[in-house]
Amino acid sequence: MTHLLISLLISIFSTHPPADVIHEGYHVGDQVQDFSLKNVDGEMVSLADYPEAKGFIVVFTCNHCPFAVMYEDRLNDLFDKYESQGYHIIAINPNDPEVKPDDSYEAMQVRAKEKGFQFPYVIDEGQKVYPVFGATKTPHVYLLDADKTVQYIGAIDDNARDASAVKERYLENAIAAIMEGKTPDPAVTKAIGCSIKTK
Amino acid sequence: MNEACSYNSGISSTPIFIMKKWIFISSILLVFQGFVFGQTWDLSNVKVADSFNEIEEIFQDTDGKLHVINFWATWCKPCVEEMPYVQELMDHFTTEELRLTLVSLDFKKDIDTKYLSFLNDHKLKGDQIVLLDGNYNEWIEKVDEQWSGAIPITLIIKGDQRIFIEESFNETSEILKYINTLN
Repeated sequence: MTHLLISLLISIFSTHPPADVIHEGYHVGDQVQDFSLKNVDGEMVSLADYPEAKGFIVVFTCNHCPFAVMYEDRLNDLFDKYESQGYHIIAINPNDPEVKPDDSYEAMQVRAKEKGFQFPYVIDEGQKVYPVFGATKTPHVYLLDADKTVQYIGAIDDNARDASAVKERYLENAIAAIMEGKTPDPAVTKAIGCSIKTK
Repeated sequence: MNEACSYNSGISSTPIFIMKKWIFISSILLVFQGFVFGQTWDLSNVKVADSFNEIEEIFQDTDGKLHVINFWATWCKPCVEEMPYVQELMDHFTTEELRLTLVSLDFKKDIDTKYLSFLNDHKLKGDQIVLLDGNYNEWIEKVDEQWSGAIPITLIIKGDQRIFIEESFNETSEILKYINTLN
């Protein structure tokens, strides 16, 4: 009991969270909290805006990261393929524009126009949403089902540099699995990306 | 439109002697750099690995020597920003005490240009590797299970002791603090 009290006190007064807390965030099976973030068109976007959604492709991405850029066209392809099937892409830029001016709201508006994004490209103002997800880099994908439960976390596919040489379409395979009521396998993948920029 | 045309024609008619002059000046500079500043990096002393398997052994270092491995890329701003602090480690240890390995995730097309220029411009020290294996999901966890895939990361290995750090450094003392926790 004393030990419990002591550790409780330590945890209350400790100013630095233990290192493992940093990587906490959503895991597969967790239900996500809704958010409200500003899109490049000035409108606020929430998951609740899509009451009929069968799922969401929440992708943390940005303008400056070469890996994020390599996936821009593939995000457009995913939109073309899955939007009509009820799987909505929401692209979130988690970077602090003061640290990375290329990722400012204005620069996002320009990029979204250039690439013809038809899905929301929203800014995580104040960087409040990405830590809740536990996103660490761009690009970083979270696939949610209709209940907003995380079904898959990780990469879009296994070849960032060459879309034509992709062997494993992790994200599309995961969508196919949940469409069939199955569990995605793999449910987590890892890929190189740019660390999210904070002050 | 006219302006664009004249610009293009200017490029295509670049006199050969100017190119030659540039090649001459660059070679002089390279030789000069080699004499004055030590190592010049080129494809003969940088290891370019197509597959992770080719470099897997460096992560199982067991000679008891301190080994610092840093994953970086020229396109990664925080990696470039922390590089001076990683490099400064070489001033704190002898080459007998410390082995420093920089594993770059630069792209193949940038090796001859951006990557080698960076190494030479900043006179980087340590063993240099470019890892081109794009099947990230296959090897990221072999480096460390905790690694999400974001760079930079630093691994500190000494015998069977191992510290994995997925954050960038703002000064050398931050890295030394980790090293000092080792036996």
